Amino acid sequence: MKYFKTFTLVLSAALLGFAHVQAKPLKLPAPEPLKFNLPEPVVERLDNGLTIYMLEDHSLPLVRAFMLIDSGSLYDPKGKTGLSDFAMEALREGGTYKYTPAEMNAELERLGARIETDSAYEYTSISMRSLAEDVPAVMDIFADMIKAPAFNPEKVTIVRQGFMEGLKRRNDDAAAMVSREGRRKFYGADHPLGIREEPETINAIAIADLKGFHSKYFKPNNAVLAVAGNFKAHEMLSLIRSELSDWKPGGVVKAQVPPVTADETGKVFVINKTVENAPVLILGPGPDRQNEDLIKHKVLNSVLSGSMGARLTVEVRTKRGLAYSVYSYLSPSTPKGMFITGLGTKNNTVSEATSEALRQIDLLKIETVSQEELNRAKSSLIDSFIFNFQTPYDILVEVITYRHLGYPEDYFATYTQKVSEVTAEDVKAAAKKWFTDEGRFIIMAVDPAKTTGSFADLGEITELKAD
Amino acid sequence: MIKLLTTALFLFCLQFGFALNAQTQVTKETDIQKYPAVTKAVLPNGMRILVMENKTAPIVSFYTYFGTGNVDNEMGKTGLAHLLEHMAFKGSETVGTNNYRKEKVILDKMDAVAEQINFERDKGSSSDPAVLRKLKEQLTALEVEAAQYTVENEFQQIYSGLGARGLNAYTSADVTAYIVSLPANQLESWFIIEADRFKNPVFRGFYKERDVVMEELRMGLNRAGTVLFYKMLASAFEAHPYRNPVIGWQSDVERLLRKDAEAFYKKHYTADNAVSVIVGDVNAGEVIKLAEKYFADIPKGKKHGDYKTHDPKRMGERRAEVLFEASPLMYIAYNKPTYHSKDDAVFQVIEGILSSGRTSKLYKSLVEDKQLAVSVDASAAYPAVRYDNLFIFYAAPRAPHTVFECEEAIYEEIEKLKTQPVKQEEIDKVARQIEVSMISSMTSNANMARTLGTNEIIMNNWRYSWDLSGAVKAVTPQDIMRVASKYFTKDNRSVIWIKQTGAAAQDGGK
Repeated sequence: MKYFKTFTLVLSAALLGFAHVQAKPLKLPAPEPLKFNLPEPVVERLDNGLTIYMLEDHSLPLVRAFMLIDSGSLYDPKGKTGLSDFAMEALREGGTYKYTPAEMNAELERLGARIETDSAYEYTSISMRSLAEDVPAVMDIFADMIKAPAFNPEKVTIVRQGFMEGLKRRNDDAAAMVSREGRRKFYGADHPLGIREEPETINAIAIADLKGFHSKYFKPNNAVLAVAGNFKAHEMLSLIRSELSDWKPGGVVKAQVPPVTADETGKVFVINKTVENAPVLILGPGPDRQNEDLIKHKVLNSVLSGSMGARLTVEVRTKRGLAYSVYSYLSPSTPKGMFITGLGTKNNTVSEATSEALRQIDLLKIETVSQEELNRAKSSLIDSFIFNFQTPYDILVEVITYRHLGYPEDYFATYTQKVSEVTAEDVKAAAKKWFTDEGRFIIMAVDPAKTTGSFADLGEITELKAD
Repeated sequence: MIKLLTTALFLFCLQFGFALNAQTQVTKETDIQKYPAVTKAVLPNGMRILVMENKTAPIVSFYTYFGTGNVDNEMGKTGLAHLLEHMAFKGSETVGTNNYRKEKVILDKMDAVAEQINFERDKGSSSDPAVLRKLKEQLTALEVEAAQYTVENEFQQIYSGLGARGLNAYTSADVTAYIVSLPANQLESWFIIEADRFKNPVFRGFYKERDVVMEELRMGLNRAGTVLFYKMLASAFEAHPYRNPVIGWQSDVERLLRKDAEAFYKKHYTADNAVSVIVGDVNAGEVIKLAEKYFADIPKGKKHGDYKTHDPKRMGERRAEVLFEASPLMYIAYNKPTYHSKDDAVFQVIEGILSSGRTSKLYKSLVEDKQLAVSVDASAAYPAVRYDNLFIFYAAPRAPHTVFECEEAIYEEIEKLKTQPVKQEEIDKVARQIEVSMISSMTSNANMARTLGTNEIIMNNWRYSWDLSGAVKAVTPQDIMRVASKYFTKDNRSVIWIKQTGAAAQDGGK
């Protein structure tokens, strides 16, 4: 299994203490080299096309499973934004062919087991947690939910009510509001990556649509299953076979994601809201997952905000005391990535804090980072990567998710190497290419009663109403 | 047969594997059917070390707990324990500076100016703005001067260079925890860094960090749920310091001084008030040896009392509305005894029956049957557990239903608990859920360390969660009726809710 074999080497190399920074003030011993071999997962494919990854883990009497389905809110049809979220919730709440909602929940909770669903832009998932001794019973419910959800009308109504109430509350939290509206501006209010659920779109979703979602995407050849825990692989495979062999395969056609045409360059969107701490976002373009600049951009971002010693934290928070929360990160969505820089500051220092953040971003285009700072930034990246793999279950989930999201086949295998190869010149070049004024804008929520001065120095002001 | 072997191994280790200082007491858990395999060491200075080996991956989680939190702040200095926690990242006489001797002089001058600023501001309306402006300029000038001797964020950078993950800390009302995970080959480095940090701390950059904490405080004030929670505590506790927000009252935090933090540190951050928990790819014997080497000379600390103002007797129900620009929410709080009480397990079961999962009473009633709420929750132990605390209910109503309808529905379920014995299978269900939760938490080094550390530092018993898991099984339907009847009374409750203001409210909540 390509991902895993080479991953073993990656792990060992990183744990040798790559970019070991000589700690000058304290005399610390040099670390001994670490060796670590990840167990190879068992990989099987059923006749109906379902791919299964299994890792035995006998440390605890527990079994966890994660099924990933190639679907997601990116493919919500026009006029029915929210379909994927709604369908996945209704799938969980609405019972199945064999189990009423009450029967299913009673059984799961009697056993202390859990089945939950989730919906993201580019995939949906169902996860399962059970004591090892209860797996056959829990797996039976899990499988029926996958193959034959019932979408009980009463439960669907309750789910719908939950969505409607959520829409009413969507501007209660200023930071969440700014994040959502910022995304809408960046990608465009009609683009799948920017579009917002509305009461009309939720109300337009009928049970037929939920069933349609299920029958369209829930196919074994359109899904991957990961299972880790206290079992013997061949026995688990038998169980999965007995439960999911009759799941019918079929063709899948996904909607194409259109190119992004929105452009709000230079604007400063201001939403009036009663806040003590004003959330501010600086949004601009970034590489998507397939872009060759991805790793270089990650290192660049690590210099900017990868740790407490990084630029934004030191300058905006530690030295000037302007923010508690200041951060930046890349959302590498296809077809267009978005780079987010965010902070929260009291109303009358919005201008000062935002200007400083912009200055730090732009400095990376002009100055070359020192070798020491670069090494720290790389070291921080590599080691946070490693800690995603604490248990066999985490490893499997991470790998199948990354694979599904379209990261290059050799992403894990070459990650450490690629990060280590990034030079200070690469970082500067990436900053020049991606931290442009082109496509960059600002969005914030502020309290007009508590704001001194204007934000005109930041750009062209546009007032937005919170709706 | 196996038991004999285990015992023999244990004795072997005790005799030959643990070449320790004679005064360090080491105990290794042997009942590993019931408890995780934890080794506990108590150093001569009273510091406790808990170790649990987990060789799944070559990583280690470290949690150091001090048995002090924001409940220990003096009046007028709320938020100090939390600000101190921030200061514990500022380095030491060695880390974070290129010349401590020169730096110290400036830091002391800054303290004097900061104190003068307080003195002037405390005059309130008769304070002189010109004087204040001048003092602030002086403080800024000193900060600039001090900066030349500061190596900014050096502490964090040292950890970064070792491959650290999740370098962080948190302060609750009860405790303060310092957290980090490292690759397994950096074990000794952790001891060196932490020993230096806690033996020779320097709270540099205090006044700027105070500004940072003020921003953190303000972020909380943005959120309806957070604000309502603070108001709930202040209502349910009249005098006891659990009534204070962990982050502190705004006017207190603004005037905290470095000397306040130093005094708090000296009083509470002592070896006998500390537990370090190490979970991961380690060898217990080696860890304890390192602890002896690096932590044995952390000062023991003077004995001091633990008085906290007692709440006066309750004199009836408390009710209050809170005007906020957000949709309605409600908290209902009942005062209750904390974990010392023999009824601790009963409260856990009540929490589970009322609120755990889709078959729970509140979910079925408020979300499914009556459809009054989109979210409803019950929790047995807020805000913390060192002192008598609260059993709280939370509801987010579904428009056009109101918090008051949710309130009535909650009381309906509470009344049933008092008068109708629950079925044994409901208690069994909760016991099972807790058990599986405990097992599940053991998949993570960090979660294990957190559970072990919290139990040991607060209850002096790292086994507490596992004991509770067992005690829950013995709870009877009669216990539940008795406890519900005693504590869930009108006079014993504080009810507080958000009333929506702003444009949305004027639109009739559209």
